[in-house]
Amino acid sequence: VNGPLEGLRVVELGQGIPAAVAGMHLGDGGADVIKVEAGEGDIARGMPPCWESGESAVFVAVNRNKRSLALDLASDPGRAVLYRLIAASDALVEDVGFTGELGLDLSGLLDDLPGLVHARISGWGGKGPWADSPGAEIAAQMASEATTSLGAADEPPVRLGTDAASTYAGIYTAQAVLAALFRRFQDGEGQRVDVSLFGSMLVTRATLWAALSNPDDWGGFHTDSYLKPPDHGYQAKDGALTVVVGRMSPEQWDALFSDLGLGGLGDEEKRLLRTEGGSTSRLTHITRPLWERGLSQFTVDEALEIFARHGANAYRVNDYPNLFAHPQTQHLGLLREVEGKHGPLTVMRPPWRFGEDTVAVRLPPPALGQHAGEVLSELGYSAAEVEALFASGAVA
Amino acid sequence: MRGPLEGIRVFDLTLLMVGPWSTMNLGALGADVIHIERPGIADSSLGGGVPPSINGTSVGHITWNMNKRQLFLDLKEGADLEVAKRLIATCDVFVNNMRPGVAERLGLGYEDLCEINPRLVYCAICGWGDGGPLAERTATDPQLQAFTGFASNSGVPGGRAETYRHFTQLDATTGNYATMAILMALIARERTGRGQRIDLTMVEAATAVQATKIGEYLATGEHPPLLGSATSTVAPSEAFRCEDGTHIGVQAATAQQWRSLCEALGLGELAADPRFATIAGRVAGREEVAARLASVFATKPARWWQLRLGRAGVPCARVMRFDELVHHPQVTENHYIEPVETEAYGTVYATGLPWAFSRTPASILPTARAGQHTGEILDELDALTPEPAVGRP
Repeated sequence: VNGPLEGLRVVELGQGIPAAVAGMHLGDGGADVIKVEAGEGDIARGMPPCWESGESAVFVAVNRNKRSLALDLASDPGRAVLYRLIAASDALVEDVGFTGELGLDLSGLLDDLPGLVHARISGWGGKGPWADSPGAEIAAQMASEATTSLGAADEPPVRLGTDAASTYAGIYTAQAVLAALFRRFQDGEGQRVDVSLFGSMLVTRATLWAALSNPDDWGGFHTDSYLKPPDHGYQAKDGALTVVVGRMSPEQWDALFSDLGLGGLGDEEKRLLRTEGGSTSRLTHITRPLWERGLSQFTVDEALEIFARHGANAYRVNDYPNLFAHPQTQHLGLLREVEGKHGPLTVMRPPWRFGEDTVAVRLPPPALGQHAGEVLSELGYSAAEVEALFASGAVA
Repeated sequence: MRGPLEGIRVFDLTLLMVGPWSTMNLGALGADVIHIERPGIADSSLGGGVPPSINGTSVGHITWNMNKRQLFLDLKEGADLEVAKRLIATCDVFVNNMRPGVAERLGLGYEDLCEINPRLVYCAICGWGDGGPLAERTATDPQLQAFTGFASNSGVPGGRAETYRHFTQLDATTGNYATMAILMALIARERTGRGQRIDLTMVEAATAVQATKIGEYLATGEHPPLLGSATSTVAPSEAFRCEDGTHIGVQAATAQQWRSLCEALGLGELAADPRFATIAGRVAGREEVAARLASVFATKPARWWQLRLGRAGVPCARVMRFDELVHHPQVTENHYIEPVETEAYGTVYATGLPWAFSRTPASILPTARAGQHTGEILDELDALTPEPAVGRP
């Protein structure tokens, strides 16, 4: 089977990352996802860097398992195709920033299509004074003060490099569509559901809000990491590592200190390292230089070996070449080679594994409008009608 | 109705954060989530005792166990294990995030439970997988940030990788993907009539959420560069220092946004420069573009630019802090951070709702005390199944 969502059709109507992530994960689940692009294509197709074949890395990364239909969404015939497609689908994922720029108002869809699940992604949420303001990754990160968990207090903001707000908005949108589809199986009715970049970022930071509510003490890594100095891990000769030491006896600690060349530390310093443990302690700004006195004499691999020998967990601060070379990553088999229309591509597989046999990556990221003919034919357009739509430019 | 999942019942054998976050979502969506704790567990040990605490209980426990009922069961006791199995027979979903093999040793492996309840969706979450050199290790967010390259995506130009000091981001990410997969399996059950097993590791979830950055690496063979508040895929998309010394984050990705930004800043000639007409052109000339914009942003306070760009339809924001966020109408009207009245911990600003459903809204239940609903859950079980409840704590 294609996956748990086999038999469901989803229209993705957006640009950039958020709607694409939602569409991709629904496609990962086996839904027939049709990505509707405006004539010139998703803006993500123009984001650098590119594959050798010229395709955008970002576009390729968030568009597996879907088909592409390019429409002139400024024209009535193009919009008529869109409405016919939506009417033949179970769910619509709409990025209101995208449809807003096009002047496309879909707010009344449920009046005609009461069984539709209509998800809307916005920058800031469906209600409130900013409901109609456009959103963006850096804006959502700053407004949710995610940038406060990076960098230094008096320095310029540092971005959470992963496109977090956009990606989490896509994840929460996929959840929203699934939950609403589940309800529809029970009672036959669809509904609208709103998700935003800002809200997604705020909700994933929830532990911090609870920690700031009324804590018994200003301590523990949920509050004391707030406005701490930058954390670069512990520096060894050729890179950095992070360390988490569990319960050990004083003798075990002494053996670890000795192997790390820290046997000469004073009793008070050793006590501090024993009680504070590792990288998540509130006193890392004091303990880190002590650890580094020893670690600076070793390569990361040597240091990891020493910690492992003593039953402590330490990890290299990996970059992607290190991550994908690691035997644990290779064991999980995260990558798939696929043949894109313009050349070979490597994509990630979906994160979960279902017991029921499913093909993880059915479709490579599509070329612009690659599936127009087959999608129109499935919607019941005759060959002559399809030809006319292409000729008029309503379908690209 | 409490939400779209009303009627769904979840046996929640999860601890710490990753698992509890996934079932907290299901509870907000309206499922009846029954969270298991060991009888007699000290309040200070709940949620692993991760500090800080509120009234002696970890904020972790308080945050990650909203929207649930609390049941005491000692699964190492035969009688309680039997109660668990009777309860699981009435459930739709089973979630655990114990190390591989632990559920099986308790007699709660997928094969065991599928026999009792073939409609059960069984989700097993762990850190590293059931094989490979790290399989036996525990997993926490900061370790995963280091291992999966997450930390290596943040930092200043020419500087070193930085840990995101919100040490639960990848826990929440894993929980979110588990929620998504469980919802998929519940939908599949509508078609097949059967449940199925789902496996998910933190490594898989933590890398999935880095899709765009890993995509850059896969295309180029190199780790994406550290660029402070900027990014290597869109420009402008970064923070600019304003006259008052604070920063405004600004992005112009579409052609319309780029035009509007330049006009709002009085930089018509920049909008007309063909080198910067496309995203790729602006990324290639990012430093020049940023310098031109920065010189204008430096002439007025951030608050003024926010109004000006807002009127021009250009995405922008300033940093807001907790005290401002919890009262901001954009937050309160959308329920993104919710003040929740709990019996044991007072008012807690807890996990809000990321999804706003028009017909079956999601909802929040305050975190209960460990074991608080033991009596009522066992009474319900007695009413549902003929056997008398045994092993009642």
